[in-house]
Amino acid sequence: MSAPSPAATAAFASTADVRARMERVRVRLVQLRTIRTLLYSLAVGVSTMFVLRLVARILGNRDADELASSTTVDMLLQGPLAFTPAVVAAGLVWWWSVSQWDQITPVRAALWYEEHHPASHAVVTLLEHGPEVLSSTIEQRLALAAAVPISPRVPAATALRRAMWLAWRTPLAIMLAAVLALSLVVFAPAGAVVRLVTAASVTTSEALTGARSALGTWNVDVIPPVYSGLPSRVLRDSGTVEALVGSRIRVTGVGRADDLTAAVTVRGDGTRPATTLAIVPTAQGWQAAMLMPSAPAVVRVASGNTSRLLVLVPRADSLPLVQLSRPIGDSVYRDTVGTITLTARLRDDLGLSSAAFELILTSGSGERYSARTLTLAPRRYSGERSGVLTHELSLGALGVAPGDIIHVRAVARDAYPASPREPGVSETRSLRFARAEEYDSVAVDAAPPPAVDSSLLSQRMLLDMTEKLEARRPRIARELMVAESRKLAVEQARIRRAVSAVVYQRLSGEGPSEHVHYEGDGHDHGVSVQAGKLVPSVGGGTVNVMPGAAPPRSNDNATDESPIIAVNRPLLEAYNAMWDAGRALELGDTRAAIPPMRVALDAIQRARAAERVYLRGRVRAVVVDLARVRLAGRDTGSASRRTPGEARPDSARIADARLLRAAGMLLVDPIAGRDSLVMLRLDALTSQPGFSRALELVLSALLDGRDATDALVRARRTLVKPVAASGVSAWSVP
Amino acid sequence: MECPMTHTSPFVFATAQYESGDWDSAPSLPGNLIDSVARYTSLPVAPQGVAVPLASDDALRYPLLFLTGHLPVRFTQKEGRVLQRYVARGGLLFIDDHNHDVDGAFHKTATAEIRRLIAPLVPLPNTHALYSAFFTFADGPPTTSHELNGWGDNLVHEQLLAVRAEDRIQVLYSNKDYSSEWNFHPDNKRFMGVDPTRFGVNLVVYALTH
Repeated sequence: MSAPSPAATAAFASTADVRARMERVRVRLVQLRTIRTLLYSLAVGVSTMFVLRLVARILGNRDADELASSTTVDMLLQGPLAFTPAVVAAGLVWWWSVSQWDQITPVRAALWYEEHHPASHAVVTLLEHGPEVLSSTIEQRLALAAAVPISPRVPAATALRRAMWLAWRTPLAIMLAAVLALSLVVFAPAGAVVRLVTAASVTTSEALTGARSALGTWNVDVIPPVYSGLPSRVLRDSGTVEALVGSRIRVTGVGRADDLTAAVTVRGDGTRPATTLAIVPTAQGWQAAMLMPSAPAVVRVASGNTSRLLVLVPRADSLPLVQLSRPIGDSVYRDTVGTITLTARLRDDLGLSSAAFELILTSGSGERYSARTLTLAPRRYSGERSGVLTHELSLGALGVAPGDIIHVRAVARDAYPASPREPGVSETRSLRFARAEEYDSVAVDAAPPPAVDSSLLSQRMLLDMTEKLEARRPRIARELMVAESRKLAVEQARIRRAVSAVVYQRLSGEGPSEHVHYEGDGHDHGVSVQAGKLVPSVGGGTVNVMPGAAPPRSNDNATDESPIIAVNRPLLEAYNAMWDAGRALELGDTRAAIPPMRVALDAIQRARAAERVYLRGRVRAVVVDLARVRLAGRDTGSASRRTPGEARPDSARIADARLLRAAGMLLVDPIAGRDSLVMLRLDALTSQPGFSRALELVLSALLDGRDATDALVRARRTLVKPVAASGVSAWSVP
Repeated sequence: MECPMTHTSPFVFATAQYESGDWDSAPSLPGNLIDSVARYTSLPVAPQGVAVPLASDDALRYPLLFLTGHLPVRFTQKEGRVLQRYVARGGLLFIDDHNHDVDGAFHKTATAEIRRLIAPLVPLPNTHALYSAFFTFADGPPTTSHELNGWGDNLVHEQLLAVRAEDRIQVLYSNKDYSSEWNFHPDNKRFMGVDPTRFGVNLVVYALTH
């Protein structure tokens, strides 16, 4: 039993003594009520904060698996304004409680006293009526009250303390519960607010720290390939290593090596089976070594049920960056003399090894092209990160002719040892040198009518075949030679007839297949047939268009020829040359056939140029009459049935599902959850670099024991963009 | 801009324009192949082909791109990026060497560019589905008169080259000079015993069904 208080242990000495003692009781009762009200107010305030934080998290999380959050609500409830609702709630409770208070008078204190220390209402009577009512009866009862043994009755002071406890117990319990709940909300691990409220689980950081400490710390030595010239470095207790592909990675740890296992899994382009790494015991502990693969990988070091991961992030040796700054663009040159300045700027991440200009000089036209590839201004570098390559390209030394085309680019290599690797290349510039005949046709689309063009191509091909046959003549029999030559003669006749058709069509306006021409047919087409050759009739006479004849003067106004004859003159000349060539081919004399064939080709070329001057036309685009030709073909086929390909999987949604599973797993098995996140990050390194960087922050927070909720939310937002709602929200300014 | 290839729109034959060479060296070829598609199949087809710059995203709208020329092929950076996206998104790029010469500038540069941007070209088996997509070519790609005449590299190429992804052809490369073989007015087919453009129909059908 506690020591009796003065109010209960001593008899009342006087009326003043009674009043003084009751005043002390009254003061204590007022204090009791004030503290109780204060506790209630605090409990309500803290509870208000808890409820609001919980609502904010629920609104933000929407459900425990979905890590999106409402930024606006969250910021409001986590900032300085977060205390305002709590203070207001507490103030309201305080105000309401105070307004309900009754005044605690000395008489009420005396009543409370006599409730716990019966004195036959003598104390109340004395305080209510003053000393004038003091009678012997009251004195006697006061004395009797003072003389009553304390035990077994509860003394007033003890009752006061008990009353205080009973008064504080409820609000104190409420307040403590509110504080506990609030702390859970504030310090709960990632993405598990609701779950933590209902069933608190192990904290992730503790589990992860435990995994690390069980395996001890390790050092990672990174030794880059020799060719790179990069220095070696040591990473202290790192979970991620980013290094050049081919670097030697050596992990050195402390502790026993007996029960350790290590395996490396290469990810990125499809998961491959894990490769076991050898754990080598050392004087201080253990060591494992590997080469940095070309794809992201993870090394798992395990001891019993504990494991730790080392993420390998490869960095590729990039190709040199080459920029051709001069010439700045493609161009057409009028002259084939002089020099052209070539300038290229080079850069490389590790160091340049060599550089040069690569040039292709293409000559020819139509079906005949020849090309030379040249390397100019080769230069070696000794590991410089950047450089400038220049060269003066002499067109004269290169032997550039009109019609030639130069394709030039700069190439650079770094010290990467694999020979098949492509060099770094610049954009290619095309430099064309105009032909003389191009000058007067600048405004003309460079394309002749198709009929002449097809003859032109065929004649060139025929000449090519004849030259090859002529080259084979010493090696083949005469009979074979004649047989081959006659085949060419047939082809030559076909081309000649095609040219003839074009000529007649222009002169008479008739279609090529609608007319037959022969000597003395009585027609006047502007040409006549003489000994198999076509001779134009001008003003009753003829014009010499035989091969080798002097060409007419170039001024059309100074000649007697009509414009239509002028246009057709080269074709007539080609026709007659083809006649000569055909006769020689019929005899198997390819040597004699070649000169007139060349004349014919040149004549057709001139006709082509003339077309460009006079006709000013472009190739008429072929528009197919679909209705006429639809299913008119003689051959039939069968189409394969179309098999629609499967839709490509949505990588973002797959990653999102994996992220949610890993986040949920963090609560159940933090190590497994962390490992899942590590694997997810590895798989996203190349395909989703932004998501991978966000996951790196998540892992960093987990390993440091910090709340990873926000990092998880940000990582998820890189995959799934927030859905924009139409209209303004309640938080918007109207 | 309206997409030229939807499930209801006709097939449009597209010729790729590239900056470094003579991309338009076979101007009659598109009309000829369009004629063949209409002549042998019931596929809806546009009566006229289009030329589409390879540096433009418009190239992504066509399931089949035809690229030819005689001159060196050096794709610009933009052309290279579009080309990579084009094949990754399911397009079929058909390249034909108009020089028909494995030692020629077109062949050397075009194959190097495809290797640099996409992947090395490897021989396409003559049993590939391309050769039975519509007509059946039991011996693989049909030879051209230019090959038989010994022009160009004096070789008859028995196989085409290709870059494939999961057996789907991304890039088809020909040394056979179909650009010359098919570059004539379609009306001339009536004079021919065998239409040489039938293989072009297989190309179109394959591009539309794979």
